[in-house]
Amino acid sequence: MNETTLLEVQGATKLYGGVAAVTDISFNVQRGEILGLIGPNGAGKTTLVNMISGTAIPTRGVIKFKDQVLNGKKPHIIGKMGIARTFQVVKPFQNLTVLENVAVGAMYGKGGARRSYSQAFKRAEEVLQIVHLDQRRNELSESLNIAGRKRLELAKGLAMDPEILLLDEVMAGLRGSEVDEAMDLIRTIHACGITLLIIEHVMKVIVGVCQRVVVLDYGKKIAEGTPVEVTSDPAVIQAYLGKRYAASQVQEQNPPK
Amino acid sequence: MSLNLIFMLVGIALTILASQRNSRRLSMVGIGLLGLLLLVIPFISNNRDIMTNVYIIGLASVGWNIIGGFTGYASFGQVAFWGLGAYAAVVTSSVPNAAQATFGLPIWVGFIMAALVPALAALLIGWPVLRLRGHYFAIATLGVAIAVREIFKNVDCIGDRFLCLGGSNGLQIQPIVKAADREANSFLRYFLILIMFSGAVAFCWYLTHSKFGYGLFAIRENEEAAGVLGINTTWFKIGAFCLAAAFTGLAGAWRAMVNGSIYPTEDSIFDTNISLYVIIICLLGGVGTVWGPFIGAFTYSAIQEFLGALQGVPGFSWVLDWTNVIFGAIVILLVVFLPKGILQIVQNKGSFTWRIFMRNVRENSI
Repeated sequence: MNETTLLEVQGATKLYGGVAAVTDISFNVQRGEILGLIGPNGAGKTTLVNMISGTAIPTRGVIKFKDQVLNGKKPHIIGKMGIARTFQVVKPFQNLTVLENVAVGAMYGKGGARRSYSQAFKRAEEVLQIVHLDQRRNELSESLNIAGRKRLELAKGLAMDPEILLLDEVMAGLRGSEVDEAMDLIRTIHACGITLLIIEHVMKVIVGVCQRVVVLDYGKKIAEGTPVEVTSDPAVIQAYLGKRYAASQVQEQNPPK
Repeated sequence: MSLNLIFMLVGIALTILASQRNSRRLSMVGIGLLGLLLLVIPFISNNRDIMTNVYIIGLASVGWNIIGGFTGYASFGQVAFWGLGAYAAVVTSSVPNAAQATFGLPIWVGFIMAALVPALAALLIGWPVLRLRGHYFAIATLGVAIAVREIFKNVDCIGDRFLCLGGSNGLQIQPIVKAADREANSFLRYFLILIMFSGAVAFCWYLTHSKFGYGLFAIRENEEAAGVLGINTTWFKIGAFCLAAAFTGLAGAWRAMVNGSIYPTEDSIFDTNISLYVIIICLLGGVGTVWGPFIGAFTYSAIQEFLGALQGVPGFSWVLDWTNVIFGAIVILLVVFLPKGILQIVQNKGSFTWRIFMRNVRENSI
C-alpha cells in the first residue's frame, strides 16, 4: 500500500443469508481523487458504501482507511476517523432546521471534538453557503424539495470535515439544470481537498467529474479505468445494455470484411 | 372556584408567555411574573401541598421528557425509577429504629442517592433495553417497572440487616422534625421542590443548547444517520435514560417524604399510573420542548382541580364517577387535535377543525 492510498478495499464480500450482495471486490481510492462507482441496479454499490461507513459488516475481506482496518468498527468511530457519507434515501432530521441539521455534523464529525457548541453553528453557516442553502437556514428540513434535501445530505457530510466523502446517488431525482449545479458543487468540494467516492447512475456526471471509475455488476467488479476506457469496455456495455447490443457494438467497430 | 385552580390557570398563561421564542422581552416578562407568582403562592394559598404535588409530578415529567421527548424513546416504566428514588432516599435518610434498619444519614445525602441509584439502575437496564425501538422499547420498560415492584415486594433484608427494604411491609419515614414544625416544614418543602423543579427545567434548557442535546435530537430524528455523523448512539441513549431516571427518582423521593411511608404496591410508590401521568403531562405541555413539563404539570393539575371542584356543584355530583372517563376523553382530543401540546392552540389560533385533525393524522402517521 503506497502512501497516497487513502481507502483500500480488499476482497470485500457481503452475504445476506445465502445471497451474495457483493463478492470479492478490491479497489483503492487515492488521496485527492474523484473515484466513480457505477453499475446497474442491484450491483452492490450501496452495500459497499454501507460496509465502508460501518452500517453493514463485511462477511469477508478487509477495508482499510489510512492503513487502519475498519472491519467491526462502529459507524460513529468511522465517522470521527474522517469518513463521511450521504444516504441514497435521504435521512434529514425532519424536525430540526436546515442549520441545525448541518450543525450536528459539525459537532460530531472528525472536527467535532475541538468545536464548541457555538463554533459548530458557525461552521454550519459556512457549509450552508458552500452548498447554497444559506437562504433557507431557519426552515425545517422537511420543507426542502428533493434537490434541497440532497444538498442538505452533502452539507451534513461536509460539516464533518471528512477526508473522504462517499456520495450515494446525490443526483438521483434531480432535473437537468440541478444536475449541472450539483456537478459544480462536487468540483467545489473536491477543490477543498476532500477525496470523493461517487456512486452515480447519471453517466454525464461520471464522465464529467470522475478521474477513475470502478464498475460493478451482480456484486462483482467487472471493470476499472478512466471514464473513457470504461464506457467503451464491452463487458460494461453488456452489463448496462445487454448482450445483443454489446455484440452489435463490437461488430460496428470491427466490420466484417 | 378554588384559589389553587386560579394559580394554575395564571401559571399556564404565564408559562405560555415565557415560552415565546419570537420575543425575548416577552419571554423575560413571562419568566419574571411566573417566578413572582410561584414565590407568593405558599403565602396566600389555602392548601399549598396541592401546588407542591404539581411540582413533584412535573419534576418526574421532566425526566420522561429527556428520554421520551428529546431522544424519542417513549419509556412506559418511569415508575420504576420513581420507586427506586423513593426507596433510596428513605433507606438512606430515615432514622433507624427497632422495626427497620435504615441508615439515618442527612437528608441531602438521601436526595443524592435518590438521583444516583435510579441513574445506576437505568445504566444497567438501559444497556439491553435501549437496543429495542418503538413498541418493543415501550413494552420492555413496562416489564421492567413490574419486575422492580415485585423485587421490592419480595426482598426484605440484604445481608445481616445491612440493607433492609421492608419487603411487603414497606418503610416508615422517621422524621427528625417535631410535629410542631410541620407548618414550617410544608413551607420549606414547597420552596425546595420548586427549586428542584425549576432547576430541572433550566437544565433542560441547557440541554437544548448543548452538543449532547443535539446528539439526542439527532437520535430521535434518525438513529442511523446520527451514528454516521459520529454520534455514539449507544452511550447517548444510555446517558439520556440515566438523566431521565435521576429526575424521576428525585420526584419519587419527594413523594415519599410527603407521604411519610412507602409500600411496594400499585397504590403506593409503585403506582403504575405515574408512568402514564408523566407521559400525559408531556403530551399536554408539548413533547420534547423545554417548557412542556411545566405547562403540562399545571394543565394536568388544573383539569384535576376543575373536575374536583365540579363535583361540589349541585347537579354535578356524577362527575365523581366519571372523572377518569372525562380525563381520558380530554387526552384523546388532545392527541388528535393538539399533538404538539396546548401551545398549539396559539399556533392554530384556537380553531379545532376537521382539516386540522386530518393534517395531524397525516403528519403523525408513519
